[in-house]
Order: sequence, then structure tokens, then C-alpha cells
Amino acid sequence: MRPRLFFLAAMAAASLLLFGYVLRQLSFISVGLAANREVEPLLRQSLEDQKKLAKLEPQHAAEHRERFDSLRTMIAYLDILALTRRDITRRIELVLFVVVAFIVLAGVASYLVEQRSRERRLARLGVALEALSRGDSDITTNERGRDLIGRIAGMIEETSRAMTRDRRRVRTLENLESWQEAARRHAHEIRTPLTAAQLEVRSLIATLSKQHPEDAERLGAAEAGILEELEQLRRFTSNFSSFATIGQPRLQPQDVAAFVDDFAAKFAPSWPTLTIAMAPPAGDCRANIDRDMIRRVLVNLCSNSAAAGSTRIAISVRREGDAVHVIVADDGEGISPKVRARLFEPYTTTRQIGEGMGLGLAISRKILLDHGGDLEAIDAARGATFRLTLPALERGA
Amino acid sequence: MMRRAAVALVCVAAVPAVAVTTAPRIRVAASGDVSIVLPESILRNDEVRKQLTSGLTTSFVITTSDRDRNGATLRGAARVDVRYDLWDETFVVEVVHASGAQPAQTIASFEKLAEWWRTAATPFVRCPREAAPESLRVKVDVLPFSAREETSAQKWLSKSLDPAASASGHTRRDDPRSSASEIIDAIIATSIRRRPILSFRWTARVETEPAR
Repeated sequence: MRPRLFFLAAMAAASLLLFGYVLRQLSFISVGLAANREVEPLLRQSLEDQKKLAKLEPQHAAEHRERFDSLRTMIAYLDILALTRRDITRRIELVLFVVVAFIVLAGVASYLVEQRSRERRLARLGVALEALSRGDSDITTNERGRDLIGRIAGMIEETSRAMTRDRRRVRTLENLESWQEAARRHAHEIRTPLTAAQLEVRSLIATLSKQHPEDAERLGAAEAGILEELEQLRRFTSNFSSFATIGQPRLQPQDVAAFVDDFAAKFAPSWPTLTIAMAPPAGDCRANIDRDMIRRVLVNLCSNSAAAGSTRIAISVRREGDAVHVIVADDGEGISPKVRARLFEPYTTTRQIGEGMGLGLAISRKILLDHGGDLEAIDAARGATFRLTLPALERGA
Repeated sequence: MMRRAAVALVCVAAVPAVAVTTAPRIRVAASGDVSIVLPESILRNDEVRKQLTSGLTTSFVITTSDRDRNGATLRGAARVDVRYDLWDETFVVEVVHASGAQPAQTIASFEKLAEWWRTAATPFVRCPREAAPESLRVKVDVLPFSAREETSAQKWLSKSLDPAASASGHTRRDDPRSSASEIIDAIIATSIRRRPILSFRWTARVETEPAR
């Protein structure tokens, strides 16, 4: 910093000295020209001429007197200019020197201030980069400049956001993976003895019916009851299995807006108490999706809304940057604060036991994550609002 | 005794600041008016004489700052303006002092002006006769032009620095963009200031007029 300061000061001083020298030459020449003493004898001769003319032409005396006075005034000014020539030169030099010195110093000061500001901003970038290398999440640099440093800061923030997003996604997927593995094992462990139990019950009832034909009716009713309960258990296990075996999406480019519009038209009658309203799409809303899976997500959300007492669902699709957002908002009772934090975890539900396992939102989020997007609950003044994020296709692709 | 000798020596020697001249005559009237008769050598000084015939008003500014016998401060000034009228080829003389201005006099030639100069007693300070000091420090500055001529020349230069005004005859007062340039013009124009072309200083003996 010091050598640079010294260099700047030396440059400024050299500029001012050079300017001062040139100015001195120029101003002295210019004032010297204005106060040229060779002009005065000519003017004085003209004065004499006017006086003579006034005597020779008395009828024009007033006119000659007027010219004489004008000449006399001009001579007086030139005399005064000659007498004050040095003062005028000095004043011109001083004024111009002060103006130029001010400009030079203001330029140097502005450069130094800019330099200091740039160094401070670079130091902030350094801190942000260190935080990024440590793996800190959601880094903010408070840099809003549109210059190179501002753009680099923006990239650091974007990278940090992407890293945070990916980390959260991986964590969620790992969590769901472990839940799926548990569900798979539970389903397997339950399904085998369940099948055996069904067979054994049938065999037992058949044997007993042969031995006690008089109780055949009672035994038949008991068999039906037991098998119904076992069937209930089988459906439960089947749900487990479906969660455990969510497949990978088969992606195909689709106009999400058109797809959602079609869904609303076809599936609205499934929920007679609900009105599904579509907002006009905004922007190019094309994305790679698995239609069946996304439909499953929408069905799940609409079913939840209907179960929560909603009467109206508003769906809008819009493009925001590199993403297509599908917003599903209902006017129901909203999300209970008690479950909000773990809303997408499996077996999270506010319904009564036997009315659902709380796997729907977990499955839906898994589908969206497998699409490279996400499913989030966003704050709303009324009801529940979910946002489906899908990676948009590039414009023109 | 020693002090009087010193004063006499000073009077004889007179201390010129720039040009060597004889000392002026200073006299205290019974009324308390202290007047001065300036030495003719000032008028005959080559530089002064050249300036006198230039057509500009040459001002002789007489000032004093001293103490009277009682130690009270004596301060006063007077001005003699001489302008050569180039048309009539006469000298117009005007004297301005603390008691007021004397009517302008027209003097036909330089010799007549010198004659007037030798006798013109210009009151420049007041002091009770009893308190009049033995000597008085006096300074005379010869200014090459008058205050009015100074103002007129400043206006002329300011106008000359403004090419637009010079060409059209109008000022740029209604153009806000030129205000900075006007300020700079004004700064340069006001560098026209009266400065003495010559200065004379004396410590001259004070004569006292006999009481009537």
C-alpha cells in the first residue's frame, strides 16, 4: 500500500508541477499579449488625430469627442492592465492551479477510497470462501455490486445455497432410504407368517368343521372374522411394501402446465366436495417428469386437502429461473404446528389410528426428490400450501 | 537635548522608502489641523511624472500613525488626486481629507501644477497644538489609478473574459451552467487592484504656527 501511495503522490506532484510550469508560460504570454505596449502609441496617435479632426471639423466635434473618450477609456484599461499584469498572471495561475490541484487530489482520493473499499470487499470474499471450504451452509456476503467482485460473491452465495440444498436432499433421501429398508423388512417379516396363518386358519376350520358339523356355521363365521382381520393386516403390509418399493421415475419431457390442467379436469370428480381451480401458467413450464408419479403426488395432496375439510384447491404453475413450480394451495384447516417440523417423515399424521399411516407426503417428497426437485410446505395465511419444484428444461430445448 | 538633535538629524536625512526625496513640511495650525506640504521632488520623480500624463488618475495617499506628546494615538489620512485631461491638456486636481473634499481645480500645465504643489498644504490629521509631537511619521503612497477606474477596469476585464458576452453584448447571468466560469472570471477580474507604484516615508519635524 505504501509504495503505491508514494507513487500516486509522486505522480500527482509531478503532474501539478508540469501543469504549473506550462500554465506560467501560457498565462504570462496571454496577459502579455493583452497588455501589449506597442498598441498604446498607436491609440495615443489616434487620440491626437481625433483632437485635430475636432478642430478641423467643428460640425463633427461632438462625434470626435465621443471617439476620443472611447479611445481614452481603452488606453486607460490597457494602462491598468499593464500595471497589474503581474497580479493578473498570478491570479490566473493560482485559480487554475487550485482547480487542477483539486481535480488531481480528488482523483487520487477517489482512487484510494475505491482501492480501500475493494480490499475490504475482497477480504469479505476471502471469509466467505473459507466458510464455503468448511462446508458452512447458506453463506451471505452482503455484496450487491454488479462488478466482478459482486459477481464472484453472487457465485459463492449460489454455490453455498446449492451445496446446502444438495446436502439437505441427500440427508432426506438417506433418511427415507432407511425408512424404506425398515418397511421392506417389516413387510417381509409380517407377510410370511401372515400367509402361513391364513392357511393354518383355513385348515383348522376345515378340520373342526368335519369333526363338529353341528358347529359348522359358527366356525364359518369365526373363520370369516379371522380372515378379515388377517386381510386388514395384509393391506397394511401391502402399504408398507408400496412405500418400500417406490421405483425410479421414468422421465419424459412434458409441459407441466398442460399436464396439471389435464389432471384437474380428469380427477376433479374424484373429490366431490372440492373445487379445483387452475391459474394461467407463467412462462415456459416444460420439465422432465414421470406423469404417473407426479399424478400420484397431486392425488395425495388433493386427498389430504379433502380430508382436512377444504372446499377449494388453487393450482398454479410457473417458471422461476431454472425451476418449474407447481403451487397447490387449499382453504382447509392448514398444517398443525405439532407436525410441521416432521411433516415429510414417514408415519407422520394427525388422523385417527386406522385412518391412514402417514406415508403419503413421505412418498410424495421421495418422488419429487427422485425428479431432482423437492416438495415443501410454504407459509400461507390460510389453509395449507405446498410447492412442487421440478428442474425446468432449458428454453428452446 | 540629545532627542532634539536626533530629530533634527532625522529631518535632514529623511528616510525614503523607495525614492530619495527631501522631507515634507508639516505644520500644526491653531485650530489643531495638521497639514502637510509634500516635497516637489515627488512630483518630479520620473515615474510619477510619466504616470501623471497617462490620463489615469494618480492618487497620492498621505497617511500617518504616530503618538502625540501625551502618548495618544494620532491617525489620519488625506488624498491628492491628479488627473491629466488628455482633451483639454490640463491637470485636474482634487484633494480629499478628513474635513471633506476641496473643489476640483484645473491647472493648465505641469509647471503650474508644480507651483500649486509647492504651496498646497493638505490637512491630514488633527491634534491639539499643545500636544503636537516634535516629529511625525508620514507615509505617501503613489497609486497609479483611482478606485473608480479600478472598478471600471475590473468590469471591462470580466466582460472580456466572457467571449459570449463580448460577442453578443449580453451577460451569462441567466445561464446556470456558466456560474462556475463566472466565479472564476470574477476571481481573475478582481486581481486588478491598486498597488502603490512608489512609496515615501519620512519622520518629519512638526512646526507649530504661532498663536494669533
